[in-house]
Amino acid sequence: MSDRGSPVFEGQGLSKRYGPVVALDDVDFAVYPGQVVALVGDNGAGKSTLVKILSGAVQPDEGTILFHGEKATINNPHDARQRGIETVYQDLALVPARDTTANMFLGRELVYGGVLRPLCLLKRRAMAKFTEQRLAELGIRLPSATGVPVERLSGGQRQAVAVARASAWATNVLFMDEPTAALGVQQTAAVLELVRKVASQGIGVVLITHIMPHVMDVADRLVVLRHGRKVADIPSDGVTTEELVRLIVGFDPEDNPHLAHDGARDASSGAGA
Amino acid sequence: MSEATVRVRRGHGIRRGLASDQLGLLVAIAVLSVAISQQTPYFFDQTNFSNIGVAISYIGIITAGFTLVMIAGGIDLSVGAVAALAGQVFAYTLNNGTSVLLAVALAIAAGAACGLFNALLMVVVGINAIVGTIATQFLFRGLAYTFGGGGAASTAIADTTISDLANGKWLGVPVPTYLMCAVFLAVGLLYRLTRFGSNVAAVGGNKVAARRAGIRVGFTLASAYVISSVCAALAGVLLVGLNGGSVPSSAMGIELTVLAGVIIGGTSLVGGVGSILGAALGVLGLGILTNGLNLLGVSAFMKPVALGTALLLAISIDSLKQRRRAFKDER
Repeated sequence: MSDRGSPVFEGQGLSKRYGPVVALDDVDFAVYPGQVVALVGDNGAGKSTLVKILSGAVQPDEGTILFHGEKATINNPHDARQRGIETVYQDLALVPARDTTANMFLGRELVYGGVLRPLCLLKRRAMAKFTEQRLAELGIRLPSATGVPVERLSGGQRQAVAVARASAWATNVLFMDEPTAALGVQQTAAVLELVRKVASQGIGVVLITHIMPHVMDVADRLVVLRHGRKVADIPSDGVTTEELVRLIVGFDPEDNPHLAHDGARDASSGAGA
Repeated sequence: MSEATVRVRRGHGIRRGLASDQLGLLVAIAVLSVAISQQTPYFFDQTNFSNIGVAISYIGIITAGFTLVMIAGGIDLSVGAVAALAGQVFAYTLNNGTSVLLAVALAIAAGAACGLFNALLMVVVGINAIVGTIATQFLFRGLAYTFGGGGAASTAIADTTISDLANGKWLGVPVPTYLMCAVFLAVGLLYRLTRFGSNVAAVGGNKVAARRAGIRVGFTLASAYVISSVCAALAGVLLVGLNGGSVPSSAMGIELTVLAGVIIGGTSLVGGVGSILGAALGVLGLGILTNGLNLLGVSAFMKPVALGTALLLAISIDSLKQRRRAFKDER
């Protein structure tokens, strides 16, 4: 794999405890522009805690977050969004009765400026045009971007809308939580294709998933968490599904030369290897 | 108006859209009108149309704001009491020497205060809106009775500016009808054309998604409650004008008529889906129905039966739509 340069977004030594439970224990995690990282691990391994910290929903007990190499505080999801860091939630966070354009611009509608500014009048045509462009760029086909509520779309189409929205505003990093959990085979393939397209636009994509074949297909790099610790941070090339499963459920990484050891400090060496 | 232009492309498997719902309602109103006119010669008559226009005017004004609250995912059953209280404030201040304009402003301000109180309970404290606004309905109604110390007695207004206006006509159309259309138009444009309207639909449609998108959910819902109460207060002032005085028991039970009109107009009970134009058509349809029953000499005691039936029908249709939606998600 070619050198990806420096990480766009990075967490160092992140720890989080909920009472006696250590959800995350001294984890380093880096996202590189244009790279798809799969964040894998069993239930309770700390995946969601890590993503919540990086997307601003939860504050870490220890550790620092770097954005473009500089120390950054992400106190809430709004801070994250302002830095071009978006999340596609498992429940998609779409408004069912509204059309694709309205969902695309949810909470960030374009309004007329100048003297009309205080009225907050919607620029409907501009928003529809942008949405159609964005859908075309990603090769997403829908009945119409306007006038058809997203509740009338299929599961895959809805997923595509959520991805299109997040990727439109994610200028730097896109987190995707189980993006294919509710989808059929064909729809899954389409969404994974979408993930690649988003990454090809220079956005760092973090894929949180359980489903092994997806991981192998689409990810450039694998980060495995187990019991709140990072047990692997490796390029996905040459890793078999069996090896990955063993990493997830418990396996001594020292036995395998492919794998960086527990709590690897230098995430970039793992990525560039 | 702006809602009629909603584009619905009928692609593969797409159900009939919002605009066609309203078309259906228009057809129903036309059929109802023809049916009534078959039974009585007094229906298709300018005086009768004026009567309908006046009868639905204050109901329509209340409905406009009420619809917004419904779309935002709330409900405001206190509107009738707010109208009565605002009417009392208007009559009392007017009779105590304030100018007409100031009296209207004070009545509207009283309405806004009621809306803020509703918002405090429903949004900040977070109590159930149906129970909460039934409670504030009692509270505001009680205040209307005690305001000015008059009890249940009506207060005639000495200054006739507002009653002249309320009973006046312009180009053959009653002034209150214009006022109603203006309020519907204002709320409809607010809903359709502005970011606030967009936020209202988002908050009612998916609160979690709205919050994650950075929309101020509480502020949006609270604003809807205030708008609803301000509309109700305006209707209260209009009622004082129409009656020539303030009646503390006025607009009692009006919330059910309003609710029926809103639901018939295609607004969902669970929020997120709705149409101001549809609600206006719903109010018009109910107005024609009531008028028809009057003209046909149907007993006044039968009218609640008709209204109750209409409300149940509308809610049943809404429930069926909800269920169909749920089925789609299960597939």
